[in-house]
Amino acid sequence: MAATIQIREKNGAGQTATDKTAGTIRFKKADDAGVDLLNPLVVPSSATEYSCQKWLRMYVAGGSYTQISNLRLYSDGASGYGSGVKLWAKTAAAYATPSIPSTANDPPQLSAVPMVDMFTYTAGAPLDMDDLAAGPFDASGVPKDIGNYLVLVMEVEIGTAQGVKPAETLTFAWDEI
Amino acid sequence: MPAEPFDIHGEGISAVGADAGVLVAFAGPGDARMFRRRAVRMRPDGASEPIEMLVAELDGVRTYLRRDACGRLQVVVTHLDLQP
Repeated sequence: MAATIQIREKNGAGQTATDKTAGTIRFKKADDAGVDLLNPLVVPSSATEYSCQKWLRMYVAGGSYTQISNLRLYSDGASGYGSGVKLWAKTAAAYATPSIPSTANDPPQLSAVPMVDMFTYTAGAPLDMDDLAAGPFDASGVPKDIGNYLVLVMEVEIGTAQGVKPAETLTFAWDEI
Repeated sequence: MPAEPFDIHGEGISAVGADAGVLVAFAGPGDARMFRRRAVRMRPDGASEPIEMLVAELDGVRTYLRRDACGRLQVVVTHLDLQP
């Protein structure tokens, strides 16, 4: 028996959680977990377009284990979104209500620090997901959130082709005893 | 690949991993332990792909083991902290 891990999206001031482990995350201009065509990103005629932040966090829903540690996140290293669409990432120790970053900054910032291209994080060079909210995480208090918050922002640049973009793959990994 | 292919007994240098008749015993003179490396891959089609490997770690160097499509135990790679 192993731990049951979920990837959950957090929304609103009260960080309402939605299980996205077997789902998709839709980048849009609103702070909600819906996978729909409401509040879409618009190809800009000037400057750039940022989505509302997506806040994700790993969650132990149950199961049996002793310790979880070494949380990491990575992509496949190649954006399938096409020209003009970028995905930015950064971790956070504490939650803040999701918002749309200022287009005065490119790349977008989180807590006044520039975010990083998500596709630079690969299996060989993953994003550390337990350096701010440090592990190891034992089985006390389950169910519970573990590790850093992951904040993602999608950018659409001038001249990007319209339409729904293909989805991408994210992998969350951890050691478990 | 099964979501939970390995049953691991014990911790540290006395750990033993077993999977459908395959038994992996692991002990070493250094800092050795055996545990799972697990992952959830969120795929573009909305499906969730679980990944699990058995890790035998000696002095920080990891050997990842998993079952191949034929059910045979397979050493994936030996590298420091490589991800599944």
